[in-house]
Amino acid sequence: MTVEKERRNYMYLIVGRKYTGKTTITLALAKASGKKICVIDTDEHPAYNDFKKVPLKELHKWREGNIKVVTSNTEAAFKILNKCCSNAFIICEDAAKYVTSNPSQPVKAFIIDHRKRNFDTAIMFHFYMDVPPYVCKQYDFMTMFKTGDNLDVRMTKFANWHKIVERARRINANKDMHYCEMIAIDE
Amino acid sequence: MEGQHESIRKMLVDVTTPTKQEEPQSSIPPVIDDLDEEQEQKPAMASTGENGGEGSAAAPPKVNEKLLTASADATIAVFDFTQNNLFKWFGKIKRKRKMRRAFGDEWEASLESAKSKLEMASVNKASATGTEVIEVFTKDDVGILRVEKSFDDYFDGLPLTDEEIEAIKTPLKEIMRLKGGTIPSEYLLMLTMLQIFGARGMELFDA
Repeated sequence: MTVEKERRNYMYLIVGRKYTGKTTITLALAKASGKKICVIDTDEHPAYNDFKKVPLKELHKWREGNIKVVTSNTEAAFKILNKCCSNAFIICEDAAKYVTSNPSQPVKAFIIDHRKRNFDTAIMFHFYMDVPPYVCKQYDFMTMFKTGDNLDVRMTKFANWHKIVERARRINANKDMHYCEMIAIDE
Repeated sequence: MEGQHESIRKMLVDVTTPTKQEEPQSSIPPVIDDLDEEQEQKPAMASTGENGGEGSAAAPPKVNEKLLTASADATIAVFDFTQNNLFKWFGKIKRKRKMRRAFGDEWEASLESAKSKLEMASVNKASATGTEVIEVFTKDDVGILRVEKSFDDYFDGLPLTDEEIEAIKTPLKEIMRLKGGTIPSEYLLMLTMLQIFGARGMELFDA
């Protein structure tokens, strides 16, 4: 019996304040995966300046190379990704703007079906409290940076909050602004 | 990033393991009404030709041609009715002022008298009994009849001609097709406003 050397697709949550290095780590993960990268963004983040900017109506033709889609119509972007794209690392920048506590159907479908499309996904938030409960149940790993959350408030939407809060305190106490740790959902 | 936590280092290694490749699902984009690329939506609207767009990603929704024509006809009919009544009313006001200025407050009586003279003259000509009755038209009679005639001609020309209707119908259908065969709300608003302002204007002039 042979065991296939393949890993499953991951959904990363990346949580941290501004300038903590979320984008740097996310890009490192994305590039290490060896997949083509697509950044969904509502603003032009300078970290992706070397990515080709693709208009929404051209997204369905994307087959290779690293691209960014800067749009306010993120729902349409997810619809196209769900239907036309595969084998990629998708980075959702500033996801609090469009991955909300009541996510739209295309966002939900994207989260549920990311494995069918062979998508690895990184969804970025500034605070733990911004992460919608729906996403808290679906992610595989969370990369934690310093945040401004009040850690005394228990966030039951995370199944392993007791572990998360322990690490979050350690991260906040670290003097390095860019210090981060990763936690799995089942830890 | 120096001094990465072990969990990050492990993940950066783990993530290099390939995942199962999937085939692209489809190269045909889903139909999406409002792809928000503002600057790229202009050409589609600018084209009024039959098949102006060259295969844009978001194809306009298919519509029933018969229904489209009927909707366009209905829209034009409402517009025609509105403009006809509105301009007729304004025309009457203008005529009243012009007549009063030129022929005094009794202009209506003068017009009636001139009209009856004209009628009598045409009856006499037609009967041709041999006895010739000559109607004497004063300068005012001719003037007032000429003004009346010019306004009658104006009123007769108010309804849209077939050519005008056709000229409006083509671009209107094109816009309605892009909007899924419905009457665009901009047009409905314009017509409604025209009717409201028209009705108020009429009341004002009528008072």
